[in-house]
Amino acid sequence: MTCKDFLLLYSAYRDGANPRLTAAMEAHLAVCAACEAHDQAVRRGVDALRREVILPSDDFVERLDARLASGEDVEESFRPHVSPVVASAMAVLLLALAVFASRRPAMVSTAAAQVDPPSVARPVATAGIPFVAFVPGP
Amino acid sequence: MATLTHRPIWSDSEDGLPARSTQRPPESSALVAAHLAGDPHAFGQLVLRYQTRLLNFVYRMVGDRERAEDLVQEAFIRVHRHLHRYDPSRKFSTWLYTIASNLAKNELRNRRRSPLVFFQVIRQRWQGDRRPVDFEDSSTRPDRVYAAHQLRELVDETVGRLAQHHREVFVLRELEGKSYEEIAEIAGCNIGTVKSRLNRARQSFAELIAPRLD
Repeated sequence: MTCKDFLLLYSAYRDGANPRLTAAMEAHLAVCAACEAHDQAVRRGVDALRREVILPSDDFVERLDARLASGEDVEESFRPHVSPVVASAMAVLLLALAVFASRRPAMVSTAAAQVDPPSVARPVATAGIPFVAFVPGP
Repeated sequence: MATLTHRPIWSDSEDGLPARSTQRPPESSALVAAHLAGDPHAFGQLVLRYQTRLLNFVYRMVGDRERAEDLVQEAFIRVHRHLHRYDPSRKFSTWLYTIASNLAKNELRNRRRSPLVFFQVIRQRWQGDRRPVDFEDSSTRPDRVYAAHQLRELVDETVGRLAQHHREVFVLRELEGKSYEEIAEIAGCNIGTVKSRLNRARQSFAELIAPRLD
């Protein structure tokens, strides 16, 4: 077993799921000072962590009781969290869709295309009164 | 409104406290059922059973004891309000830890949005002597007390330096002894992710703490 293998399998070893793995890891620990130091660091740190027990304040239950009795409002649900990366990707996608939609030629059915365009008044400048006249469009 | 009256007749072994009776403690799901059936003492028993464990978990997540207590209380308030929605096929403690974990993550997210509050700054504000800590090492030799104090500080700092998603699985596994399945449910990910996060967390923990031991 190499040190790389040891580190890769360390978590499974620490959780003690496989006796064969345990034997192989311990054989490596017996001959490798670096991996032994790694194992000891985790063990000592976790032991210290487990010995430190934080106790609730003396008035914890009384305060909780008061909060419950007051009918304090709590949010019904957690706000949905969208990561900045996902939000940026969605914004870019929406922008791309908007650009695509604006550049795409308008879809007109064949039947609709055969209908005569509606007449639209066009201003035409003339010399006579009232100087501007309206004539039907094309 | 039910009050949190409790009759401490059962062993509170889950809190690490000595047994007060030989009577077997009821399952948490039985206490939930009793509360829903109108037993005014049942919810108080649930609070007693989980308050310390939950406080230690949330404290490890957020690094601020007072805030951790507030969040644990909020978790119990949510549980109290929504206990009728509890699915008895699920483990009660997993449901409770999921609520507390989400509250802790929300707290950390809000802190990231408010850059004036940093995890490490909060930790540094704490003087070890002022912390109401029950340290099980009964040795009173000054050198041992000092060494234990230093190690405690170092471990606290190291856990605080782990990435949030690594810290969560690390604490749930190493401190709370949760199974991979429970951690997956609490953290909202699959078991493979739990295993890989745990491996990374343990490696990071060792890399951070090893150079500073001795």
